[in-house]
Amino acid sequence: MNNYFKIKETHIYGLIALFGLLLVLVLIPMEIQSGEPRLMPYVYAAGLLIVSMFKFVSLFFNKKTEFFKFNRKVFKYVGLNILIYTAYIFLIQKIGFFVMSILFIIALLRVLGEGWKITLTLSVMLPASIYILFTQILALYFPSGILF
Amino acid sequence: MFTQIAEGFSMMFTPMTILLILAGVLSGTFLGAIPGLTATMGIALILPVTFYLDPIVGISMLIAMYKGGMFGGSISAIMFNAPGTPAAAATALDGYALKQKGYPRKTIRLALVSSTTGDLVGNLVLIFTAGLLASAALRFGPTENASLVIFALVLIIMITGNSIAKNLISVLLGLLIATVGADPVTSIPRFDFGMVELSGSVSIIALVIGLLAVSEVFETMSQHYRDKTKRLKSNISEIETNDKSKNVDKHKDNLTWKEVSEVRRTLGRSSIIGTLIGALPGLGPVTASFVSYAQAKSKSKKGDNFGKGEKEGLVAAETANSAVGSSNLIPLLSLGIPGDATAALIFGALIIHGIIPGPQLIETNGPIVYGIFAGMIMASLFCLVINWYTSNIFRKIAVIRPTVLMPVILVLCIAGTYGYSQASFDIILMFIFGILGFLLKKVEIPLVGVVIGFVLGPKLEESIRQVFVLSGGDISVFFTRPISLAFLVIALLVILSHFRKTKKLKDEKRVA
Repeated sequence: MNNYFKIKETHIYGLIALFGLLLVLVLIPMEIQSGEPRLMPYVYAAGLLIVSMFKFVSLFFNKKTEFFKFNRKVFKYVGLNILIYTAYIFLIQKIGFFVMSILFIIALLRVLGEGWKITLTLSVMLPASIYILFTQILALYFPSGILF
Repeated sequence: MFTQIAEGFSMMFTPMTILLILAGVLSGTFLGAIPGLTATMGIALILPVTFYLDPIVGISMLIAMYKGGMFGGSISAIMFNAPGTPAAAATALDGYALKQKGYPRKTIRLALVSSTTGDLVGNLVLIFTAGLLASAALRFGPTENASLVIFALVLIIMITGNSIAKNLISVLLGLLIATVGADPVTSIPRFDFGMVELSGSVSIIALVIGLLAVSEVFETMSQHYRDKTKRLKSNISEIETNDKSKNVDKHKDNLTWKEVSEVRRTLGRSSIIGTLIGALPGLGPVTASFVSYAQAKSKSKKGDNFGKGEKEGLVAAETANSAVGSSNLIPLLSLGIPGDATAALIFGALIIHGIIPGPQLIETNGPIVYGIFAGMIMASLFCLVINWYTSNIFRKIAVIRPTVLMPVILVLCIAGTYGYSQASFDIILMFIFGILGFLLKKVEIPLVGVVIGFVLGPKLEESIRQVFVLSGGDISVFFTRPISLAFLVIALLVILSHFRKTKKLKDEKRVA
């Protein structure tokens, strides 16, 4: 199997043009009350549509499109790390910021290949410092969830 | 005037004042260095303490905290590509790249020299020409503001990145994101998708931290795994491929007088740009730093190196944002108009002490005002001395492995974003912007445009809509008012000069 996947530059401009079209035809009419509030969003969305369409057409006919190359394996690993971060962000509300921060630091450092010594030290030191600075000194409170 | 200046300056030199200004600089730098925590927040917290102090001491301490915070924001921008304050976003462009080349101490010190220069120029202008500049600023109505913003956007589109189409797309995306939330004129919600959290506006901290810091961490992860895959393939040892976390020799990582002298023109130009933009209420340090950055890139012989660790890029951004720190007090002190949130807090502090900002301020409270100016100069110098020596610590931090730093930065991004607004929704927004930034980087769409489009969007829309209301929809006012016309003509010249340059390059290539 090929280790890389490629994306054509024309596809990127095509996607942006679609987004522009979506804004002009669907999102702005649905999400903004008619009248003046629509003026600038329409101007910006039309700009996005015109620029991306122009580039799409000119690259398509010139056949000079560039390719963006991505390593599948690297993307898989980065995807896993982003997934851990996503879980951390969404669970902060349920479990609490400090507990989740400790778990997140442990999980990410281990996935990134760090040893237990640095993992445990950081997972305690960082949330503790944040607690002292934010909660004790600046009186800014974090979501506590069902745990601390 | 000079008697008042001398009297004001003499009031500053007491041990208590010096100590409190020092405390202000230190705490401001510390807060500013944590992404999301701004010196404005620190000022709001210590504001009540200043009620019990002498007005000069109390207000100078607040301003010292602000100045420390501005530079603190640049420290995290340089070290981790995580701007501590939105104003430091432009500093991150070349500051982080220069640090990545193994020069953390040199980068911090160059930023420091730039920041102090901008600051001092802003202070001197404030002391000697505040009244004059303020009356010039009064000539800026919605038409001039709109033209100035258009000019700034044209500069960004023509100068950042390699493709004008991508720059334009990036700025348009920023402008579109800025339309989310309440309409600036009617307050009708736009693009809120039925969510209360989006009915206000998108948090600038969530956007800046997500787009710049979180996306950079994802990019570093990508690099880490790319290196790892290569190592596995070719059996190279870890030490050989992990060179990125190494600094150059300690002596080479020192800022020399020659290097400062090489950027003296940029220092001068950016100080003026920052001071002038700071004198206009509402535009602020983010606009100043990006306009100055774009202008330096267009003037520089090394324009192609901008974004890759070019010293002039760092100097331009840092000098201008610091110059704003002083000159944004011009409309406050001369006209009683606070230019930004920090100026508004200082306005509050002055009122509490019975000092009413406005045209009569210097006549009625001359020594106090000049005392505050002296405190500002003292704060700038303290900031220079303290951070010059602490830059040695950053040299040590720079060699920490990226794998250790990544989780730390990601947790701090969340803490900072939440700390700024106390809204859990902003954490999710920050994450979405992080993913968006990562993807945009992958397809080489510059993130600078998104940030600057977002920052200038509300000002542009508000001004254009005001112009339409005042002129009954007649757009000729943009061309009949001299200041507005001047900005538009310069913008047109920038566009023409860019296309001329591109054509020349193409012709040269064809001949070669």
